[in-house]
Amino acid sequence: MSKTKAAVKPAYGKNEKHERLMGYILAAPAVILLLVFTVYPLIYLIYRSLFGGNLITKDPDFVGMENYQTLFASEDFHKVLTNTLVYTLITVVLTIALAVIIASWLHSKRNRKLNEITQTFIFTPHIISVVSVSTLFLWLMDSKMGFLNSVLNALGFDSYTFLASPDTALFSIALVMVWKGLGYYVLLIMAALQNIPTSVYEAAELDDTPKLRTFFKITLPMISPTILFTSVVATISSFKVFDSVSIMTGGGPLNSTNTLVYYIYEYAYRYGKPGQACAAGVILLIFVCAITFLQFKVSKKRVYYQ
Amino acid sequence: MSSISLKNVKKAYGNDVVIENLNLEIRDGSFTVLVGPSGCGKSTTLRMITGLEAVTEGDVYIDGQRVNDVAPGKRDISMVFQNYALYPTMTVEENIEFGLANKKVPKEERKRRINEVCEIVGLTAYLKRKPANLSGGQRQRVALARAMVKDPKVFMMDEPLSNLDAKLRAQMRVELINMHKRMGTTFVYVTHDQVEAMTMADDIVLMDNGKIIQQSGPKELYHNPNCIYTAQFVGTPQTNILDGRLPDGMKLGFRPEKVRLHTMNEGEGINIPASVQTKEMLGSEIIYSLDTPYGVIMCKSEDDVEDGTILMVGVKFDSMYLFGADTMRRPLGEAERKMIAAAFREGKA
Repeated sequence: MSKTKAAVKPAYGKNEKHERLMGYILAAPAVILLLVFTVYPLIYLIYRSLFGGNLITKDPDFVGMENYQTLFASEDFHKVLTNTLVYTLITVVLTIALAVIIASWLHSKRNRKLNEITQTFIFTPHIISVVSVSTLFLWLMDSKMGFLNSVLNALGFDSYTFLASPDTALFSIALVMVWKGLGYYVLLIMAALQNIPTSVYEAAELDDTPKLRTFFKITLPMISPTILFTSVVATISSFKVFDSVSIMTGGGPLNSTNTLVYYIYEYAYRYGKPGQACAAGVILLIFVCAITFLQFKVSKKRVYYQ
Repeated sequence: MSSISLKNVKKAYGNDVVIENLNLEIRDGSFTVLVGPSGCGKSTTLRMITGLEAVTEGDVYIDGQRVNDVAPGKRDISMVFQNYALYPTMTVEENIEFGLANKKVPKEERKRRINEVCEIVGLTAYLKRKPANLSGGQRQRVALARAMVKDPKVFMMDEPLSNLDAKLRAQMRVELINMHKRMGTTFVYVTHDQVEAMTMADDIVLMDNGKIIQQSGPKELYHNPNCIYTAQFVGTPQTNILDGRLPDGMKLGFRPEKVRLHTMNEGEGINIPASVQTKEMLGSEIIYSLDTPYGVIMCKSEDDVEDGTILMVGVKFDSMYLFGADTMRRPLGEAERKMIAAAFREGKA
């Protein structure tokens, strides 16, 4: 008995060792990239947030929590946090709501040609770079010579201030980013809708279910996992908004569009306070984690998983 | 309770005509089974009755009322789907209640009916569960309960047993027969399984290629097929067809259980020399595959004969079906008996 075991084991052991080694080798590139470009910067971010100095200081002083205290005491930072939250709320709610409505509409249309054309039009902005889109809308939304205002005027409406007024600038940027991102989310939700078996809808039809009730009682619950996923993705990307702010308004007017990542950038490279920028980065990280966690927690009861 | 009738119904998907001209009467309170191979149009027919598929031409009547333009939900029909089509996000109770709530049935009335139906199908303990946490058989019951609770005029079932294992299927067949007796409603049942059709139906509608081949009770269908297709569709092993011996392309058919492992007297039937090729022991009976000068014939018998035995087998004239070159049934009178006897006279292989 023991002899057989001894005879079998080395062969098996060798094989297992080989497989394990292969596993490590195959995983190595991804792990190394992750360590170098994500884990190390993350740790360094937290570490650096505890130091003062500027970008060229060789040995910055350890200041402890001072950077955080400065941030929380600063009114600008409060404004930035509020802006970021408002911006996120507008973009996520608008994006998801519009995506669900458009995807449901496309899904209900059996005209394949029309569907393809509409999808292409909605999806195209997603593949254009943010810089191009921002530059384009900077011109379109110009309050004096912009195309959008000429259209509004031609239709008999007053001009809209768009990016020029602190009251409308943040909303205008949010609108642009919703327009840009919508196609991607429509695509994801369409995929979820296509996964709902037709027979379930037929059963609902035989149950004499009104259209709206079918939507709220059957469709919406069945795509809830995708809605949760898309809202988490949309939230995270909204929190990290930077390019559009940088190009379209530079945080203005009157700090009304200054968001967290733009603030971090300005503190690091314009005002030369990397410690404070890192502290803001840590706060951003905590915010994103907390909100994602909250979304999963809250929707755990409401989301249906198969 | 209602009768259903389809008049000159045509169904086409674009240029693809699935059903050319269908006329079907379903008796009030009957258990009618639409049976046929895949793609024969039986499910399409069912779906046209429910309204889930629109008819291209022709009319559908339920209870004498033309329903072509009546929405599925307003036809007072319940349906059990092949994959059950339960609402996965709702509990068993909500699934059953959904249709009633749409009809604005008062809450107490709903509760009473749900409890009643769940009592019948044995779901009372599972009311708060979601379909994902039920077994196949339990899901089947939810689908039945959901259909029953609406107390419909017509009860439709599209291959409802095909996802169950053999034992459960046999059990559900009995339950469905009981359910039909208790409810007295018109049942329309689609299946490709001849056993389901034979065991449950009062009335079988055998379909092929979008046409009705034969509509009759199970006994009639089995003993009195109107063509080769019907004769071979019901019964296992299928009806033996001997081709090439009779004049004018006529064919001779007889069921395996009608083949006797002994000779017939002149004038009583025909005798065929045969050797036993294979033997399948089923317990109560044995299925033989016999090699004969006219090709392989199947035989079902209680007699035990060894493999390889060479013998004469006999078939009575009374157990034969005569088919014309068009595969349709022909009457078998005295003249035909003589003709058959002459064609199969011993030694004329």
